This record gives sequence, structure tokens and C-alpha cells, in this order.
Amino acid sequence: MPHTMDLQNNGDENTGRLVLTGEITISDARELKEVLLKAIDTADDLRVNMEGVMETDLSLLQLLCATHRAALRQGKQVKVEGKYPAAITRVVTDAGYFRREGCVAEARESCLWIRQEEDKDG
Amino acid sequence: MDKTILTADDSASVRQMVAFTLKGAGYQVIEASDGEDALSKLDGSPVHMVITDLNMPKLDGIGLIKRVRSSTKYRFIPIIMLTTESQASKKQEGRKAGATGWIVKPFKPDQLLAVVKKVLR
Amino acid sequence: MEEDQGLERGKSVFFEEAGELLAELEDALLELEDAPDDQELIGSVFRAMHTIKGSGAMFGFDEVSSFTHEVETVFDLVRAGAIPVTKNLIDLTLAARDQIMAMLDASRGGEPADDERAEEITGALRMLLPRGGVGDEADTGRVAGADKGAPLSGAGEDVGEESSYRIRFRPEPEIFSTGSNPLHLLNELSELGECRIIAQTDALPTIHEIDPEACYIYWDIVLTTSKGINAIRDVFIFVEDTSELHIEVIDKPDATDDETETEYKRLGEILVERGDVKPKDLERALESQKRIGEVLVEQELVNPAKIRSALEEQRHVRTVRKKRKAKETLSSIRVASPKLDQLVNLVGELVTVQARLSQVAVSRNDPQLIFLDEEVERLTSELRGNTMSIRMLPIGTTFSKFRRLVRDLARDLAKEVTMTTEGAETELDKTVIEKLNDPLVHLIRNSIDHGIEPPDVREAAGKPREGTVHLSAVHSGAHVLIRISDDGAGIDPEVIRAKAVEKGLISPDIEMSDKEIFSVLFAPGFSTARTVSNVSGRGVGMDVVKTNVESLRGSIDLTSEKGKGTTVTLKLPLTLAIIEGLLARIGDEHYVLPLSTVEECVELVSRESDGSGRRRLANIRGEIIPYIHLREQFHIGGERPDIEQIVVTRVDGDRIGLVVDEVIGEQQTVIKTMGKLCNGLKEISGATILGDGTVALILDVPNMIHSAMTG
Repeated sequence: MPHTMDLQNNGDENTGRLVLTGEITISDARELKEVLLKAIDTADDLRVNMEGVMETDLSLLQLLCATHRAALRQGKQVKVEGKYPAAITRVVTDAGYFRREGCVAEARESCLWIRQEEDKDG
Repeated sequence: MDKTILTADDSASVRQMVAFTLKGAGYQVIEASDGEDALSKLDGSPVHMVITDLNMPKLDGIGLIKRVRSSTKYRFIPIIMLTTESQASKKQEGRKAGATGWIVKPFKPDQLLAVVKKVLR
Repeated sequence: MEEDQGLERGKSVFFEEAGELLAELEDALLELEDAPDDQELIGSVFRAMHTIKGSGAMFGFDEVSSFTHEVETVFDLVRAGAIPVTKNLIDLTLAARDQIMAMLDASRGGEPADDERAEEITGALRMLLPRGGVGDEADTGRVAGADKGAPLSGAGEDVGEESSYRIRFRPEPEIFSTGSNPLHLLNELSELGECRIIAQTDALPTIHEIDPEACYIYWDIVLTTSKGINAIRDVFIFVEDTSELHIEVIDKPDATDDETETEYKRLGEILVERGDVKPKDLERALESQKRIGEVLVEQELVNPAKIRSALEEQRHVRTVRKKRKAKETLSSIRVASPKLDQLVNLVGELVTVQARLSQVAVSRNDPQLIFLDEEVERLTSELRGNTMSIRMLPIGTTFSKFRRLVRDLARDLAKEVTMTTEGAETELDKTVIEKLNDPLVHLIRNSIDHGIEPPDVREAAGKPREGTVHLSAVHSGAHVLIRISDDGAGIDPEVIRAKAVEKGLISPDIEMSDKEIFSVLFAPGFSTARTVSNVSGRGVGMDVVKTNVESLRGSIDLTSEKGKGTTVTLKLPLTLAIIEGLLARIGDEHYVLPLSTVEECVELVSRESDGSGRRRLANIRGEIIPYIHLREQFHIGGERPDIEQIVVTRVDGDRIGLVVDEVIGEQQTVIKTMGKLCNGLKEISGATILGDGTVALILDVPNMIHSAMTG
């Protein structure tokens, strides 16, 4: 399945940028986990760009949330950069993943999926 | 997007019925007459789902399911097994091997389509 | 249809295929005779049989399929080494093969197959089976398991009214490795109806610990659908064995009858029902005055997603109820009730005029007029029924008002009480319902005050701490029965009796049944709250209740069992405005008896038993029945006719005869209430206007019986 998981690191500022494109599903979950691990371990501030994701499923949401959880523990940041593509919005909707509040108390401000609903509500 | 379904059955009549029904509903169908045949055909063009009989010569349904589940390419593909109700233990075995669901023979075309629609969406 | 074409095609391929398989089978069997241990050969025989069986069933050749099943069963055991390959076995299998061939030919229009031969073969094959018959579960036979078949209904059909369900679905972590996508299941679910899905992510670890191919999420779903619970189960058919799946009904269409508004359960209640919060924790959290959700989260008793999920449920059910209400309101209009009363009056007058018309028509003996009269009568009767039904309201609204009463009373008295209701949809005349309110309040108050014991007392008596007050309404002929029952302490007849004797209401030496003793409770002056609640009874203003109910032409009855509880039953007429009556004449006066109280009419022939005094006895078919001579009772002058009629009436098992000159017949009677002048008259409950314009009095039969029995 064609996809890219491109991780760029800026060592000076301790920031990282992960660009995901194409089809990323459960079959790619192991690969994505490794990339995300590396991303969060090497940067204090991680931006994830998913604008080019064409097809995905629940496994991606799980992995991103798990990354976010790790970041919270280590006092790091994970943010979604750019727009959410239709593929992501669909999975987030189907899975009942929209959030008004974060899933854990500390995640209230930074939950990756809160913005979704605000966007939707206008 | 046309999805491709591979159907493995040593009974040509059942295969025929399955294939005809699925093609009518807009799916691409690849037919295989036993487990080994199915495996070799899976190596070709991409397949989105497998429908397999359990009793087949060479490699039976359970064996096929196990092999598919241990492949890298098709580990998460939906697999539906065709069983008869006298094969309750077979069904359990199939489930353990990683089958997604089952259809009990005899079944009607619309029952087949309902199940395919359910797991493939 | 294309699908049927598929079947037809399959069928023709099947014949070809079966032919080939049978040929191969023959070869294999012959080879097997020389090499009886060849597993490959045994396997191919089994498979041939299996395929013929399966495909045969597939294309509707059930006989072929079930016959082949017998052979397959045997070869399954051969394969497992439980049965040896013998010459006998091979002979039989060859015969079976020929039989299958014959059966297939028959189904293609050839000679019919020999059924007896088939039975011989299967009989002989069964002899080969080890003791006890079958191995494996092979012989589940042809009882197709409808439940474990394929999930077929697809979109499914409506199975009645919309209900809301609370679903918690927690797939096994390995669900992805079985090719199932939980999101597909959720999608399928939302196709069943209005659906809210909330992902619960509390089990999700950090990226360092996560198994990327496992599923950590589970879901809370609230679904409103008319497809029924089986359609929901069908969605999960392939995963229900391996998943955690809870489905509960949380709202049904009739549920709102019980609720005053579209309100739904409180947040805390939902969380406890779901098992997300322990009742104890909730109680503690409720003690602080802050919002319950916040408190629970602050104290880390539950995570925010659980709160959100419960809130969603609340919101969902409220929306569904509002919609339902809106739908109901759309199809109805509001009318001021005086307009309705006026309509009823007009219909009443129409009924009266129609009765006059009938009289005129009959007396003129004009066929055309009689025909017209019959038409008018039919229409009037329909109009009357319709008008009455407009006035009917479900009693549920009244019931639901009492929830609050029960709750507050219980709290004030430090008791634990729940109220349950039944028959909230039962309809009663609007006026009856309005006038019923006070008596019901009284009775419920009594149940909680004097009936239900304090929690500790109940516990000591082996009862649940929480007492129950049950309100029910049910139709019974032209009446509605309303019951208020409690599972409280009940009433001790002896205590009541002693009290009544003390008050001089009954004499101490009189024998009384429990029923009679309980009826003393309704006697005026029997009780005041203080005296009776001291002796565990009830009776707070029961005489008032009784008067109220009787003013609605109803009756009241009480039964009680000491230690078990008390039930009060109100019997009320469906409507107040029009009744079916029996018209009778004494001299020139007309009287109406409510038909519901009339048992029979007989001629009073013998005057021998006719003594003087009010109470007389008639012998009707061997039964002695007291009767009242109405001519005397009402001081009507004139001569008594030679043959008089006794109308036998019955109320609550007591019978009494009322003697009149003549019974005229049944009559729809529009009840007109009479002014204050007649308030003192016990025997009369109202008046009506007859067809010829004269007035007839309506007899209050229950009251007459009552005074006859006690007087």
C-alpha cells in the first residue's frame, strides 16, 4: 500500500515534523508505531501533518493518542498541523472520537481531536 | 472502487453460484478450487476478501486461513468460511485460526451478499 | 432476479459436478478395497460426499443432501480411525453412490428413486456406527440453527415501535487480526437508526507500551431504532463470542407516559446503571453542592469521557422524547374544555330528540319514517361514541404527578418508597380523572404514612428496605378499576374491630367477616388521623374518599393482609355523561336504572310473601332475594297492576329486587345533574329527558342497595 511517513527533525530547536500521506491502515501500524516512537523521543515539540492521508482506520487514531499520552507524561507537545483530510474526519466520526473535552484530565487543552468539532461547528 | 473477492471451494457449483452473485453486485471475483490454488492466486493482483469452503483437497479451509493470517500482505483481510451446521467444531477451529465470520450452507444469494457487505463495507 | 439466475446456473453446474464426483467416488471406492488404509482415498471419499451434501442442500436437493449426510457421517469416523474399512462398508457406500445417482436422475425428471432402498442403506450404515451413535457433533442433522446462521436480515424490518438502547461494546484486543473492522460494525449500527457513538479511550497506553495491532478502544453507544434488539445483536454476530457486549433498553415509547415531561434520568443514575460509578461514591459526591460530574472527575472516581458519554445518553433520550412528543402534538389540536362540554351537551340533546323521533316513527308506523329514524339512530350512536372518546384521557398523566408526592412524603417520613405504575394508557372520562385526584392523593398518603413501615422495621421483618406503592388502572367492562396497593404492614382487622366497638359503631357481640370489618373504615366518624395511626391502621378521612368516589358513581373496596400490605380498589364508570339505562314505569312516573347494575327482570306473581314494612323477600328460582316496592318507597298513588315486575340489581355481590309496574326497555340516557334541592335524596343520582319530553329520574342503585343492607 503506497504511503509515506516522513520525519524531519530540527535538532537545534528540538522540534519535529511528521508528514503522513497515502494509505495508512492496520497493516502499517507497526511501521507507524516505530516512526512515532522515534518522533516523540527525539523532539519536545512534534507537529503531525496528515493532509495527504487518503485512507486510514482506527489504528492510526490509537497510535496518535498513545503518542499524545506519552508526550503529556514527558512534558512534551504534540499538535496536528494543517487540515484534517476527509479520510481522517470520516474515521474520527465513525469511531465516535470527537471530543468536547480531552480524554484524560491533563489533555483538556491539547487533545488532538477537539479542534475537529470546533471546525465542524463553524 | 471495485473490490476483489477470492472464493475457494472444490465444488464448482457453489463457486459458480458465489461468483455469479458477487459479480452481479459489482465485485471482481477470483475463483480457486482448493487452498493451495487460493494461496497462489493471492500472490497475484490485490484481493480484499476471501470466502472459503472448509473441506477442500490439498490445503483445506482452516489451513488456508492460517496461511493467510501469517502472511504480511493479507494478515488483516476479512475471511468468511462456508460451513455446514454439522461442523460446529470446525467453525470454532476456523474462528481460532482467524476467520472473520461464517455462512452456513445452504445459503441464499442475498444472505451471501449481506455478509460480504457487512465485513467489507 | 439476477440472484435467482445465479441459483439456476449453479443448479445445472451441480448436476455435472455431482456426476463427476460420483464417478470419482466409484473409482476411489474400488481402489480403497485394495488399499483399505489409504488415508488419501478415504479423504477423497469423504470430501466427495461432503461436497454433494453441501451443494445439494445449497440448490434445494434436500433429500439428496440428507441421504448423503448419512454416508458422510460414517466416513468422517472412518477418517478419524474409529471405523475400519471393510468390504461391507465399501459395498454399502457403492450402493449409496448408486442411490444418489438415482435420486439426482429423479430430480432431473427421471424415474423416481426407490425410497425403501434408501432407508435400507442408511439403516445398514447406521449399524456401522459405534455404540451411542455418532461421533463429534456430526448428527445435529438438519435442524438449521437459525440463531447461528448467517446474519441475514440485512437492514431488517421494523419490529414495532422505536426504542432506545444503551450498548457497550468492547471488542477483544485481537479483533483486527480476525479481519474485523470495529468501525464497520459501528457504521452498520448507525444505519439502524438515530445513533450516538462515544469512544472510550481510558485503556489506551502510551506509544512506548502500545501493541500497534491491538484494539484498546471500547464504545458507548446510544441507539434509537424500531428494528428491535435482534437486529442489534445481528450486527455483532461474528464478534459477540469474543467481545464484551451489553445491550439494555433505556427508553420505550410508552415510557414518557410516566414522565411529566421529556425529562430523563439524572447523570449520576446513568453512571451507576452503567457500572461506571459505585452507588456509594455517587452518594458521597452528591453531598457536595457542586455539579456532580465535576465532583466525580475531580475525585477521580470516573474519567471525563464516561461523564460525556452519560451526558450524551441524557441528551439523546431527551431529543428522542421531544421529537416523539412533537409528533404526537402535530397530529392533535387543542380545544378549550368548555367547548367540549358543550359538544357533549348537544350530543345529549340529540340523543334525546332521536329517542322521541323513534317513538313517533313507531307510532305512525310509516316505513319511510322508520327507515329514516334508523339511519338517524345509527349516526347518533356513532356521534355519541366519538364525542365521548374525545373526552377520554389516559390516566398516566395523573399517575406521574404522584411520583413527586411519593418522593416527598417518603423523604419527610424517613421511609424508602418507590412507586410503580401499570396501565397508564388506560383512558377515562376527563371529568372523572379530574375528580379522582383528591381521593388518590389521600389513598397514596395513607399507604406511605400508615402502610409502608420504616426501613429498619421492614428489614427486621425480612422485607426489602424499600417499600413499594403500586398504582394500576385496568378496564373492566363499562368500568375502570384503579388499584393502589402497598407492600406495607397491612391492617389488623381485630384492631379495627376493637376501635369500631369502642366508638360505638358496631356492637361487640356481632359476628363480622374481615371484609365487613374493613368496610367500617369508610364509615363517617370512624377515624381521625391520630387515633388510627396509633394503632397502625389507616382511615384518614376514608369516609371522604368514599363520598368522592361515589359522587363519580364509583365504588371503593379494601383488602388487606396483616404484614403483607393493603390494596384499595376504586371502580369507576368510563364516562359520566351518558349511560346505558333500563327504563321502567310506576304509575305515570318513569325511572331509569343503570343497566350495568341490572341482572334480570322477572314477574312478581305471588303476593303472599308481601308483608308490610320495607324489607320483603321474593323467591326467585329458589333463591331468596330482598326487594323494595318502589311505588311505596316513592309514595306514588294509584292502583297496583295485577302483574308487577321485579328488576333484580346487583352491586358488589349484594342483590336486591326493585319492584316496578312495567319495564319499558333499554335506553341511552343522558345524565342531567339535579340542583341542590335534590342533594338529600339518597335514591336518586340524576335525571334524564325522555323521547316524549317527560323527565325520568335516575335511580342510584348502589346507594339503595347499601341502605337496604344496612338499614
